[in-house]
Amino acid sequence: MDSCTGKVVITFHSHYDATRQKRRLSQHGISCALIPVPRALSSSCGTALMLDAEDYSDSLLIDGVEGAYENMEGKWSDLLIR
Amino acid sequence: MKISTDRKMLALTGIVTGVVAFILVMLGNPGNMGFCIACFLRDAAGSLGLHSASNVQYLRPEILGLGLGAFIISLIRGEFRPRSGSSPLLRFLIGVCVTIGALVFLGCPLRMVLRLAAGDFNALFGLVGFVIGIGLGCIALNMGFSLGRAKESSRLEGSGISILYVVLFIILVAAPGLLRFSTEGPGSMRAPIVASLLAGLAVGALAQRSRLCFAGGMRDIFLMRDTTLVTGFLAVFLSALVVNIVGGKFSPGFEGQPVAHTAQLWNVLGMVVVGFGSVLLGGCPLRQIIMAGEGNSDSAVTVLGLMVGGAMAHNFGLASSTSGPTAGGKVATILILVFLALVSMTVIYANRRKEADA
Repeated sequence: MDSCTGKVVITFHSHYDATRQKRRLSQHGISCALIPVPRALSSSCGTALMLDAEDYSDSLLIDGVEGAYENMEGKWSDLLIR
Repeated sequence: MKISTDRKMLALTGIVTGVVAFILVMLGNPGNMGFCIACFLRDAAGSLGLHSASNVQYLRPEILGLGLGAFIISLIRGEFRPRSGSSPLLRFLIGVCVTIGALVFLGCPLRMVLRLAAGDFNALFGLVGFVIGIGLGCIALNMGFSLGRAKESSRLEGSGISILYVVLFIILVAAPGLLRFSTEGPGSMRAPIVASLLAGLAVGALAQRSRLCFAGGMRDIFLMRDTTLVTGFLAVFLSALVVNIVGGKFSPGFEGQPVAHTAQLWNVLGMVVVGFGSVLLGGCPLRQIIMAGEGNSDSAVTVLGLMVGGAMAHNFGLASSTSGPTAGGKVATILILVFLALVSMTVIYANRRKEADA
C-alpha cells in the first residue's frame, strides 16, 4: 500500500467490525474502502478501512476498532490505539 | 505501473518457497512434498508416538524451522506480540478438522500448489474445492463470524511453542531414540536435517515478513477485490513450475502422481474443508505456524490441533492413500463440513445477539 498519502486507515478486531464501520460511515455520507491491513502497519492480515484524512473523526468509530493511522507523505502516524 | 512493496515481498517469498521446495525433494523429501504443513505435522505426530502408522513418522525439521524463522525475525523486527484468548478450543477443533480434510485430499494448500506445479492435475480438483471452501468462509465472515478478540499475554506464553520447537530439535539431534522414525514410505523419505531446518528457517522468516497465506489471497479477492496477497500463491506456483520443468520433474497427468489419488469428488471435498476451516481460523496451516511464531498462542493451539488432526486421521483410518479415500475419511469429511457450518452459524447468531444487546 504505497499510495496512501492523505489517507487514514482504520484497523479492526474482525472483518465484520470493518463492514459495520463501513456501513456507519456510509450513513454519514463518508466514502471509504475495505482494504487488507497494510503490511507497514501490522504483521496480521485482517480487513481495514481506508478513507480521506479530512473525513476522519473519532466520534464515528464503533467499538470494534483496534487502531487508526494517518499517512503523511508515506509515513504512518498513530491517531488512535485501543 | 508501480508494484507495491507488499507485492514484491510476497513475490520474493513465493519464488524462494517454490525453489526451496524443489531442492528439498531433490535432497530426499517425498515427491511434490518439499513442504506440506499437514503432512509434516502428521509425520511429527507419528514421530512423537501420537499415531502408529509406521510409514509416516518423522519429526520434520522444516516445521521447527518455519516456526523458529518467524519467531526470530519477529523478535528482530519488533513484531513479536504475545497474545491469546480468541476461542482457543474452537481453534483447536477447527485445526483438527483442517488436517483431516487435507489428508483426505493428501496435502495442505501449499502442497496443493506444489502438486499443481508438477503437473498433478488431481490437485486442480483440490483447488476447486479450496476456492469453494474459502467462499463459504467468506460468507460466514460477512455474516458476522468472528472468533473474538485476543488479549495481550506474557512473553513466556507467546514464546512457548518456539521453546518447544527448540526442545524437539535437541531431542531429534541428541536423543533420537525417544522418537519414532519410518523405515519405509513417505516418512522415510527426508532431506538432511540441516538442509530441512535451514529451508524452514528461510521460508518461515520470509513468510513472516510477507504474510504469505494460501487461503488469505483468495479470501481478500472475495472480500475486498484485492489481489495483493494472492501474489504469493501465484509466485510459488510459477517458480515451482519453472524449476520442475527445467529440472525434468514436470509430469502432467492424473495417474501415478506422487502421494496423490484420483477420487476427484473427495479431492474437492477434502479441500472444501481446508478452505472453509482456514478462513474461519484466519489463515492456512502455514500461516498458523507463522502467527504462532509471532507470539499468537491461539495459532499455537491451532498448530497443536492440526497435529492432533494428523494423528486422528491415521488412528481412525480417515487419511487417504494413493489408492484413494477410505470409507471413514468420506464420512468424516461430510461430518466435518456439517460441523464447520454449525460452528459458523452458532457463532454468527451469538455475535449478532451480543451486537443487538449492546
